[in-house]
Amino acid sequence: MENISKAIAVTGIIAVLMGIAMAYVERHTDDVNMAFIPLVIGFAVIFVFFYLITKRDDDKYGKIKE
Amino acid sequence: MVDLLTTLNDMIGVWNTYFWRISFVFLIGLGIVFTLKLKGIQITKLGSNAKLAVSGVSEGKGKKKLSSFEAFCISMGARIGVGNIAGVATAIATGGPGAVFWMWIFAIIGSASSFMESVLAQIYKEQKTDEGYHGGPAYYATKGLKSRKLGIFVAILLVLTFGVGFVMVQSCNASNALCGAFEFENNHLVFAAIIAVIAAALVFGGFKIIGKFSSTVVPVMALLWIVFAIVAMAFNAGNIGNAIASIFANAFSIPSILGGGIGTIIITGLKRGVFSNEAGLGSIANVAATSDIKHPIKQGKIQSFGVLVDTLIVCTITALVVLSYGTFEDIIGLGLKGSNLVQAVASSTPMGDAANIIIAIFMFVFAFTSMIGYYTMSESNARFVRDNKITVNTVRIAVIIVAFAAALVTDVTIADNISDTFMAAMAAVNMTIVALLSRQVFEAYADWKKQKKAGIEEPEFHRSVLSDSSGVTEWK
Repeated sequence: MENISKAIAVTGIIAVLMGIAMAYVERHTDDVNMAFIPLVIGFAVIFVFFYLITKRDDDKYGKIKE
Repeated sequence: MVDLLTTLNDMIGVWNTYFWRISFVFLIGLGIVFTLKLKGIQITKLGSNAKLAVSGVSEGKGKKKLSSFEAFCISMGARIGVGNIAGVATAIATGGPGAVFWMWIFAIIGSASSFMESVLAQIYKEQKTDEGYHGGPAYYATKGLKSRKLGIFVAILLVLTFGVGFVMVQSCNASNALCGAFEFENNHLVFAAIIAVIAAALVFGGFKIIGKFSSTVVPVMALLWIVFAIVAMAFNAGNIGNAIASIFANAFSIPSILGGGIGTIIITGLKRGVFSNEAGLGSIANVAATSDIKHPIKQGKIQSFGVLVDTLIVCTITALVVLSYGTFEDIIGLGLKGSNLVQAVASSTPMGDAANIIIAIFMFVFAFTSMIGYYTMSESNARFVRDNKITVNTVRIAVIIVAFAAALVTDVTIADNISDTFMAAMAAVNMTIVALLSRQVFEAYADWKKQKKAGIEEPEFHRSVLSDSSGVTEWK
């Protein structure tokens, strides 16, 4: 597997872990607001995940012409 | 036995929380990304999206394929369900009036995801032995990502979630709604038989019959619900201004009577919003694929509009019925949730007990049309695994038996939790697949815009506009 595909897989796994962390915080603390920390980190990871997918496709096929 | 069921339910509840939080990261995160990438198509092109949704009324006459309007109505049938009545009331009772604000926000974000999944479903749709089009996550995973194993996994997940779990839940809801309003001896058995007979007539009639049924019943019932809700609100007209103000005033602060923080409001709004409009879950993509249209973008625009209709109109109207009852303390003081709360509020108006019966009928019709919508999704996916009469008829008979049996029972909490957990898993898988295939959607959208710019009223799609069209079989 090429490096960029590996990076996509890793960011996907980190996003899943952030979801698990959110659920864990929600279930084990009284402060639901704390659950937003992993959620927001998860969003940031999703942005990287999508950026990598776009970059891989652009490298393969070129940029989409609008 | 009861202890075992309680333990099982608690265990599933834990899994449910974990799976849904994983899904939230993907659903909202990718929803925001798609919204930005599509330049807010769901809002900036709202007018043209709405026009497309109703413009297909005359399409598809006399064919076994569905018009874009029929597909829109089936998807609205699946979307506009018990969640639009009971779900909204529960959101307000647990997250305060501000939860409605967050339902709106997540509907706007989710409609971009709905656009993406619907376009992909159209690009990778397949014509089956019934001459109709079928598609959805299983199809685009197999043909787009070239993974038949992943496709079969998703297809089986969908058949179990919708064909068994959700049919069970909706049939139970439909039957309970009627039994609550019309009490007589053996009423559960009578209503179970009625539900099974109508379901059998529709599922053996095929998608075209279901399309006709949904395109007739759904718009009428949605309009009637809006009329009924406006009448209920009119009796408390003096409180509507306050009701709207309370949604905004409580968007960032939860009423002290409930306790908790902003997290409670946002999570409640998010959960109820996703349950109601189903954006990004992969369910609506199955229906989006069934229509016979000239460009995949058309179905994407129609379905993204459907998400907004579901939440911004239908859910908001239900919310206003509840909130116009009085102060939030008055509402909480009733000590009710779900459809019982809506019934209590509506029957406190001069409509009296008649409101209870009317809401029960709406609950029955919405639950029934949702059930039929879910059936179409399971048939599409059963055809994906094996497209022959034996498989399809097995699914049809199983769905009718499940609908009949579930209509006899009063509580399907475990089935509800199991299907809900499967759905959460499916949402994360579906959104990941959509992200991996997103280039196809952006290329199709660039082509649509190019043709529109050139003055073409109804753009036509050719697979040559895609960089990789190897899995596309139904487009020239």
